[in-house]
Amino acid sequence: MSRLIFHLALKSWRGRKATVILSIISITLSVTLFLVIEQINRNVKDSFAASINDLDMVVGSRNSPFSILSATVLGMGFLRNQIDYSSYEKYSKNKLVKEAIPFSLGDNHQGFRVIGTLPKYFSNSYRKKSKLYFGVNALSDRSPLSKTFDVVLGSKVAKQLNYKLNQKINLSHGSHKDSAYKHQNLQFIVVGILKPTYTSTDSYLFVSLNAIEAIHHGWEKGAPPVEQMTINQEQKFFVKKISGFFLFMQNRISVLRLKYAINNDKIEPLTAVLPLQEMSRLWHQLGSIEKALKVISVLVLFIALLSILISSFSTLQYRKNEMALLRAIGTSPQGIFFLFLVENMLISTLSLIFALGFVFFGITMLSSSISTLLELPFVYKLLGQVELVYIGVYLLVSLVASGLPAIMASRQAILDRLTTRS
Amino acid sequence: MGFINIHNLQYSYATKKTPVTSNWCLSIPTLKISQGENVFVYGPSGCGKSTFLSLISGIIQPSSGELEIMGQDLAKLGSHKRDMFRTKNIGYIFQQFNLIPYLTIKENIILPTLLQKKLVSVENFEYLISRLNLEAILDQMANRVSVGQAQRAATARALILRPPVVLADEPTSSLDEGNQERFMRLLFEVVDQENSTLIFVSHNKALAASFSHKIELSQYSQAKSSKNV
Repeated sequence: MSRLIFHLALKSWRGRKATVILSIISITLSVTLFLVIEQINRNVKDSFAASINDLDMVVGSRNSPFSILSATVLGMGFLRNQIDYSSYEKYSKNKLVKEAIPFSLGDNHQGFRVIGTLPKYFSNSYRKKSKLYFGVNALSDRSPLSKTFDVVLGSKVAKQLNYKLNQKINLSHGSHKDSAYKHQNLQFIVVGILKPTYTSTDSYLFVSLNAIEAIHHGWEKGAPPVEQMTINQEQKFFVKKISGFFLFMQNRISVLRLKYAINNDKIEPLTAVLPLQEMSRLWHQLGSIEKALKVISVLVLFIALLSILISSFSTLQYRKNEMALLRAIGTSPQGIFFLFLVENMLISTLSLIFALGFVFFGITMLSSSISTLLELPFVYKLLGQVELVYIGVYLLVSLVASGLPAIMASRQAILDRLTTRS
Repeated sequence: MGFINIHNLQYSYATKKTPVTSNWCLSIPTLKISQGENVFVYGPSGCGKSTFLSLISGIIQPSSGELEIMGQDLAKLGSHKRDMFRTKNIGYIFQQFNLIPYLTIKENIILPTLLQKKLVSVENFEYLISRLNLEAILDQMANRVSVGQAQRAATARALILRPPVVLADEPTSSLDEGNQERFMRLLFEVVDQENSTLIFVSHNKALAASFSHKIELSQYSQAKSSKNV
C-alpha cells in the first residue's frame, strides 16, 4: 500500500510537472541561501578564532585592550607607544610563561604591514598548529630572519606585489603607503613566503627586530639621517623598544593571575589583553548583526516551507474529484493523507538534498576563490551540529506544512459525497 | 429476501443550524432489489439522487430505518469496515471525472486491484478491454482521451474486481446520443456477463426503457428546500 501511495505521488507530480519543479527550485534556493549564510557566519568566526588560536595574551603599552587586539591579531590600526625591551625579557623569564615573542609594528611596505619579530615566531608551536609554517617556497638552508635583512612575506603580499624568493626589496619607515621617506639603501632579501592562512598574517612582511632597528638607525631624532650609512648583514643593533609581545602560557589557568601582574607592573605601564576574552566581547557586540542575518535566513526558509503549504492547499480544490474517486475505489482516508504527505514531503526533502548538494559542490569548487574574495579561510563543515539541528527543524516544519493540507484532503474526501454535483 | 433491502429509511441533512426534524429529505418505506437486476433510478435533480447513491454505498448513514446490502446492515459497521465493504462490493461509474488524470488508462483500470491488493484474472481484464474497445488507448494518459473513452474505461475500472453491485451515476450525460446508446449496450453486456446488480441513476427517462426494474426517486423525496442534493 505504501509503495503504491509513493508511486501515485510520483505519478501525480507528472501531471503537475511545472508547479512541482518551480516549487522545488524555489525551496532549493532558499535552503541554499540559508546554508550559505550559516557557512559564512561560521567561517568569519572561525577565521578570527584561527588568528588567535593558542595565543594566550598580548601585551602592549598602556592602551585600550581592543586597540592592542586589533593592531596585532586583526591587523587593523597600529600602536603608537612602545614598551621597553626589558619588559619583554622580564616576562619571558616568568615561570608561568612558556614562550614570549616580541614584535615591533609601525613600518610599512607598499601598504602592507611590516612586523619585526624574532625567528622563533615561525618555530612557535601554535603557529605550526595553525599551519603557519613555511610553504614549499621557504629557503631551507637557514632559519628565516636569522640575518638582519631577511624578510618573510605573507602569501598575499607575495602574490600582489609579485615577489619571488631571493628577490631584493626596499622597506620604508612609517606606516603609510605614501610615506615620504624611503630607505632606498636598505635592501632586504626574500627568504620565505608563507602559505595562505586567510588571517591577517597573509598581509604581513616579517623582518627581524634587528632590521627594525636598522631601518630607524640614524632616525633617533625623528628626522632622516643626514649622511648615508652603510649597514651590513652581520651588524647587530641593540634593541631598546618594541611594540609589545605575545605570550603563551605553561598553563591557561594562570592567565588571569599573570594578566593582573602585568597590568600592575611597577616599572612600566603595560596592558595585557586576553584575545579570546576580547574577541568574545567583540562577538557579543556584533551579536545583533549575526542575529539579524540568522532571522532573515530563517524567515526565508519559513516562507519557502509556507509555499509548500499554500500550493498544496490551492490544489485541494481541483483535486477534490481525484480524492473522491480514490476513496470510492478503495483508498482509505489514511491513504489520501499519506498521498498528500508524501507528495509534499518529497518536495521539501528533494529540495534539501539539492541544496546540500549545491552548497557542497559549490564550496568544494569555489572554496579557494571564496577564501580569496572574503579573505577568510573557507573551512567548510557541511554538516556541523548546527546544520543537523536546522535540518531536523526544517524536516519537522515541512512535515507540519505537508501534513496540514494532507489532513484537509483526507477529511474532505470523507465528508464529500462520491458524486460530483451537477 | 432481496439483495438490497430498504425498510423505513429516512435521511436528512442534519446540521447544527437545521434541526433534524425540520428538513426531511429522503424517506423510503420499502424497497427491494434482487441480485443481477438492472435497476433504473429516475431522479430529476434536487430529489436526492446523490443522497440515495451515498446511502447505498455507505458513504452516509440513514438517520433512521434499515438498509441492508447482501444481508449486511451497513449501519452496524464501523466507518473503516464500511469503507472495506464498499470497495469490495461496489463498483462506481460517475457522471464525470472518472479517471485519475495523471495515470494511464491501464493504470486507472487496474488501480482498484492494486489498492485492494487483489489479483484479477487476465481473462477478465482482457474481456473488459476488448469488449469496451480500450486496447488502443491503454497507454494513453487519462486526461488525453475523449469523454466516451473515459466512460468506457471507467466501466472497465468499475467491473475489474467483479463487484456484486455497480452504481452508475448519470454515466451517459456527457455523451452524445449515438455514443449513449452504444455505451448502454456495452454496459448491460458486461454487467450481465459479470452477473452484477446494476443501479443506474439518471434524470433522462428515455434511458429507462431497457431496464426491467424502475424506481421513481421523487416519490420518496420530501425535500422542502430546493437544496441541490
